[in-house]
Amino acid sequence: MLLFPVFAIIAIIAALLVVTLKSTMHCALFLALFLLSVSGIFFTLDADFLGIVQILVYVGGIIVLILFAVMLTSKVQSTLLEQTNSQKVPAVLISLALIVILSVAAFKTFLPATFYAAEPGGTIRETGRLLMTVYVLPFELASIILLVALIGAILLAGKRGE
Amino acid sequence: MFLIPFIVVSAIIFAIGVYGALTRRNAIAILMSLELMLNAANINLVAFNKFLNLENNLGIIFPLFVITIAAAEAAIGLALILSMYRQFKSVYIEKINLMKW
Repeated sequence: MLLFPVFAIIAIIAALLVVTLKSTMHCALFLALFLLSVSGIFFTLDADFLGIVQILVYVGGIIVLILFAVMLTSKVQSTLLEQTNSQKVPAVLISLALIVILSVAAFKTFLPATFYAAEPGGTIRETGRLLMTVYVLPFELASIILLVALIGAILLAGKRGE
Repeated sequence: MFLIPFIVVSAIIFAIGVYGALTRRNAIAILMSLELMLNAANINLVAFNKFLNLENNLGIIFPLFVITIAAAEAAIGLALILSMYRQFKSVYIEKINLMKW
C-alpha cells in the first residue's frame, strides 16, 4: 500500500507522455511503462494474479502487436508531421471537466475507510476456483470472443484472394 | 478515506485517455489512448474489490474479462489499421473519408 503513490505518479507521467509525444514508437514504449506501473498498482492492492496477467497479456502481447503495427506503417509516419488535430482546447476542457466531475462525485459519496487483509497464499487459488464454478459461462464466452477475434484479424489483415 | 486516491488517480488517467482519443490523428495512437482508458477502469474495479470486499471476488474476475476484450480489440483494431494502410497508404484518420458524403 505504501508504494501506491510511486506507481501512481509513474503511471500518470507515462500516460501524459503517451498522449503528447510526437513519435508513435516512443508512445508505444511509454505505454509499456504505464502498463507495468498499473500492474504495480494491482500488486499493491493484493490482486497478484491480475498483476501477472497484466504483464503477460499487455506488456508481452498487446505492446508487441502495437510495435509491429507502428513499424509496418512507419513509412507514412514522420515526427515532423503534426500528430494532433485542431480540437486541442476543447479536448483539454472536456478532460479537466471529467476529472473535476468524477473527483467531486467520489468525495461526496460515502465510502468505507477500512480495507480487508489479503488472503494467505494470494488470490490465485480462489480466482481459479471461481473461474471454473461461478463464472464458467463468461469464461467460455471469453474464449469464443477470442476465437472470433483471431479469425477476424486474419481475415482483415490477410491478403485478398489467397 | 483510503479509497479516494485510487478513484482520483484512475479519473486522471481516464481523462488523459479521453484527451488522447479526441486529439490524436494517428489511428494507432488512438488505440493506445483506448488502452489507457480501459486500464483506468481496471484500477477502479480492483480498488473497490479491496475496500468493499465484493462477493465472489467480482473486482478481480471482471478486470480479467476486460483484459481479454482489450486483447481482442487490439488485435482487430491493428488488423483494421494495417488493411487501411494498404488501401489508403496512410494511418491518419482524416484521410479515411471514403464514406463521408
